Amino acid sequence: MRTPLVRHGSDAKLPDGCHRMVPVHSEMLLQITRDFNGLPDVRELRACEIRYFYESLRNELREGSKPKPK
Amino acid sequence: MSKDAKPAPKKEVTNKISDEQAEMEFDNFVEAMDLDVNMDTMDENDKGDFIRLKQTVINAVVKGSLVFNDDHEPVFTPTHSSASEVGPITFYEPTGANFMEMDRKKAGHDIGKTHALMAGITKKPAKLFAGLKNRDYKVCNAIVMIFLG
Repeated sequence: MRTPLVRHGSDAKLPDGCHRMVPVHSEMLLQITRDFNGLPDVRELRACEIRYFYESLRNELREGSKPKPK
Repeated sequence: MSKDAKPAPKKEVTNKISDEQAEMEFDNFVEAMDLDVNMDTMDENDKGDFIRLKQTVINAVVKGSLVFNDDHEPVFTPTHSSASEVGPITFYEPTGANFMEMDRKKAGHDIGKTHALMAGITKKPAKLFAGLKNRDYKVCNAIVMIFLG
């Protein structure tokens, strides 16, 4: 997959060749289901629509996942 | 066999489109599905697998058994199997339901995952794929493996 996920405040790909369609979209799906309560039926959402909703959360996710200073 | 007996004429398969056109169609498919096919980031094994899978798809496109619809989704018509009676098989872009189904499969069940994804994204029963001849199955498998990649 080209589209990265968000880890520790920045964009990142899953390591060791795991950045593949199923794990990436499964994570995106869980994230958008948690953050949007007005989503259409998520079972019907196509992969491009899942990425579309995830992209709209990217900045928030970067902020929220930044490592906290000790 | 007598000397006069002639061998059965070989079934000629003419190319429907050029290699370049097929390559372009493949690139559009990869772009539309957001697949990362940058070979610089692949290890040697993955690179070899990808080249083999891509060639299988390109060959099918050149022969005309595989086309892409307006959404760049592959539509494969089996040419060697009795399954050709069921008509073309469309590999729709996966949906949330497909990903949930995949996620439920336990790690290590790769063949099960592949078959479940194949049935899920084509909206065809899994047993259809079990009935395909090897040459047709290889094309379906290549498409799904590229999807998973």
